Amino acid sequence: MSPLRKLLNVVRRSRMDDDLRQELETHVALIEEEERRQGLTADQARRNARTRFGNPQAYRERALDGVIATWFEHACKDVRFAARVLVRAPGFSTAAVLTIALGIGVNAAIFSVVSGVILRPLPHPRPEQLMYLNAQDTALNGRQSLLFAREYFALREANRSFVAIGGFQPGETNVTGGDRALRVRSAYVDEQTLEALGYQAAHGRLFAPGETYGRSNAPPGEWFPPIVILSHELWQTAFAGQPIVGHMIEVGGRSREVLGIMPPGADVMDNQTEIWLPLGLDRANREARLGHVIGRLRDGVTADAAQAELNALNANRGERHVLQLTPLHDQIVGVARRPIWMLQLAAGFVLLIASANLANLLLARAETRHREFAVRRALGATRVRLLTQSIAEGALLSIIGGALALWVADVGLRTLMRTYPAALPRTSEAGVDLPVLLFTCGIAAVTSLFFGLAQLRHTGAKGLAVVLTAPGAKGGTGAMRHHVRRGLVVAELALAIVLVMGAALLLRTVYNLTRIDGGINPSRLVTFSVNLPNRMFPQPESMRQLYRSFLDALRAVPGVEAATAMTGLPANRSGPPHKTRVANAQVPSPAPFETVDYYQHVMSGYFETMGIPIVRGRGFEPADAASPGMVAIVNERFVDQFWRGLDPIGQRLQPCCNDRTPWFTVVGVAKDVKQGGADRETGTEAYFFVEQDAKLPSGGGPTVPSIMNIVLRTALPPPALAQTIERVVRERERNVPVVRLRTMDAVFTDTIQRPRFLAQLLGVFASLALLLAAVGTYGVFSYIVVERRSEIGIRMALGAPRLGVLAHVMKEGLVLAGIAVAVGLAAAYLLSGLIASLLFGVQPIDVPTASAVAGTMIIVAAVACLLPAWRASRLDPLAALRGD
Amino acid sequence: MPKHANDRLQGTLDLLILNILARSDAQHGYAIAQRIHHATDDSLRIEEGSLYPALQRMTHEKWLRAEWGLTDTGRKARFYTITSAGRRQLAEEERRWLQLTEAVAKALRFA
Repeated sequence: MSPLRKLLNVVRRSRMDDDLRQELETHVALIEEEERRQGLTADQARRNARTRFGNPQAYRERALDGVIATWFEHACKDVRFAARVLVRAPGFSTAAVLTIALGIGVNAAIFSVVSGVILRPLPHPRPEQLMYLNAQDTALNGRQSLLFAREYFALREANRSFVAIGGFQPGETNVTGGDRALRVRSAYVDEQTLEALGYQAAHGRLFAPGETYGRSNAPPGEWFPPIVILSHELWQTAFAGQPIVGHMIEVGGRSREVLGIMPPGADVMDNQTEIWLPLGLDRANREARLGHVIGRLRDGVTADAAQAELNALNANRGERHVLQLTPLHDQIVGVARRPIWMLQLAAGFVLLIASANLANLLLARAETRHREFAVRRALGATRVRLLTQSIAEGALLSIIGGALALWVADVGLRTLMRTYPAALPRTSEAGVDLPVLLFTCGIAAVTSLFFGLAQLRHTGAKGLAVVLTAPGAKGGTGAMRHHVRRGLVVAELALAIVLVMGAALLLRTVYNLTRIDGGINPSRLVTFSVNLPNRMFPQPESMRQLYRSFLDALRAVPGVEAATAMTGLPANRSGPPHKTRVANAQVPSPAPFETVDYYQHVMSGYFETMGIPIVRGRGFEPADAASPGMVAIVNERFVDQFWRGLDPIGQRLQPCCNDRTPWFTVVGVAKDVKQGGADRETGTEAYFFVEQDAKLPSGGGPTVPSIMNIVLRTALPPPALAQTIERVVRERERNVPVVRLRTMDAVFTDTIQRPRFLAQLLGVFASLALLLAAVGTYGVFSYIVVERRSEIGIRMALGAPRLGVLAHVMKEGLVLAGIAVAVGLAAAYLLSGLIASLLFGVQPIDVPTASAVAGTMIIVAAVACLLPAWRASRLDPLAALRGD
Repeated sequence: MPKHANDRLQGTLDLLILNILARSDAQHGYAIAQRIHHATDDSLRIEEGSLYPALQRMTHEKWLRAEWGLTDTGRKARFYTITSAGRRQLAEEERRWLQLTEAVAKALRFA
């Protein structure tokens, strides 16, 4: 039948149905007339006629089914009927809805992340054309490095594959909006970056070609052209959306012209950019370097073709850096892809366990509804009709459960993102969106189908007589069904084991990370950051003095025991290594210089305040500030790498590589600090003394840094100090905001945000899984005990001791748990490859963890069986044998 | 409706209905049932549960035409007449029926 016809039939449905009803009534009436003619009373005739005729409703349905799409009417009826059925069994309905809501909710939440971070294209036009250009340094064995400005300009001119290639450098700067200084996230870009990203100004204009170049021979504060573009968001919050294009605002201590406003939501590489500044490359400065390089492919040019062109260009020129193309999306998501999929897998497991529980519930319910279905079938309901009705019940539960699930997902996701904002990239874009909705609806639909089928599975062929006369009138109690139930218990427990195992491994990872000696003593340390704009402090000496005056004032605050300052806050430092000449290096590098992973510029009292022991020689002393000889301190790793077997004291190094830079003499060796984070290799490190930096001429090596992290040793918490610190800083410099005020412990905790995020989330999943599996096991055993009541009754009547009955049931439970442990551990073993790269200090196949998990599961299963077993042992044999 | 072509029982009922209507005026469902009943000496009883779906379906196939009218006793009933498509179908069903019975008879003789 054509769809149009079907539709017409639905419209004509009521008329045809009326016709048929009328026709059938006539038929009955005619039979009645005939019976009357044969001399029966009116009553008898009517009764005979009805008996002879049968159930007119069934005939009508059979007549109409072939012709008419009765499903619509049925669907409405089914839903109403289903609602009545479910309301009558509130316990079952609540359990089912909650199980569905949890199972689907967890999946919807994680799928929101999958959707927002991995699946959703970047919010730029034709995002597949956006490429990230990785520079690999051939002089450093292909190590990730930064492109030289000259290479960058040459590439822009020579290539034919890209429409636009632009640079990008993330940063932070101070903006004075109204009377308040703000620290905002900035993006230094050039005009081609914005072109590649596909942005147009919402107001005013964006950067023009050539406008973003800097002048490196200008005084530091005037290096960058004085122009800015505001994000829509900053414009709204800091400047209240007032017309501001063409006006001057204070950025980084310097007055700059606002060229334009970006469209809402504009960003680059998940930087949360609030203000856009010119990149400031100088074509004349050959050694300047570029942070990130982004390109947009020309229409019709594939990434492979572009890569081939880049390779050819590089082969021709023989440049230092080889460029490797990566889709921008992959570059942003990076290594977060694997943990996200792992979480989705874990969420899938939770759903499977929830489904197994639901199946259990349904099996139990199908038994009790056996009679109902058999009777309805005998009264003429077709199997299809029963099935659709059953599915309607499932659909109703799934819809309620699904709606609840979306709520769970939304709340869960918000909580997660608030707790761990930096654990994953692009999370600001994650939310319950259309794909998530479709995903949820899809799962809900499958659930309701599953529900309908499971409920009817055992109601199949058996006739009414068999069902109604069966012992206990409960329907079949075959061994088959027990196997299904036991299979479900094993599956639930095994899946739970895999999840608990994963959670346990991640928890151990987090524990290991927190136990690592970071090299400093982070307790009772409070830190914050200040940024002195070059513009206001053209002389290094004035900056040094300001830092000193901050520290002196802070040391005088009651409750503060010590104060110091440094450039790089340990535990989340990154960035390119520093080229350094190292005199007497034992393993000379092929390049004319060595690379040192970290430079740290510190103020006096640094090692004492941070609790970093000096293992040889001495620390910086006030006298060094006045002495003419430049001094440096290195870490143990540095000595190990460059001066193995030599006495490091008195050795010399020179920050690269400029004849005006003096050589520094090493006066001490400090204990290693995990500057890059607890899970990273300890790097080589050189410490410089800010008090000495101030004496060096501009361009002569280290200079006084404009951004400093100040550290206080104090028992006071950051909130108690906030006002004092703000006052101390403001009294000395009004335009400098105090930012990132927090404890050093918090700094360390933040560096392991992703492992903590994963451990906590997987921990939640594992707990859910354990709970669901325990409830499921309990349910199955309760049911088995009820079903085998008469058998247990006989055993007891024949003299089985109560304890024996208890042991019998417990044994069965423990055997199942044992099988589940074996299956679960095997599955965990097979999946170990997935989690291996996320672990630290523990192997994915870890015997102590596996044993602990197995033990836990056995205990959980035993507890879940205990109550049913105890109930079995308390049975009254007489009552049990008498039956229902 | 090809899916019914091999359904002999279905086909038999169709054949009987078409045959009766081909030899008489418009008939209502009850009368058709009665006729089948009498014509087969009470040996074939048509269940109402099959009759009306069959009538409905055959009308839908345009083998029959249905019109509302009044019975002798003044009751409203639907009267069925055969269409020319119905007559063609009847010939076809008859041919198939003969084929089948012949085949069965042969099989019984030689088995």
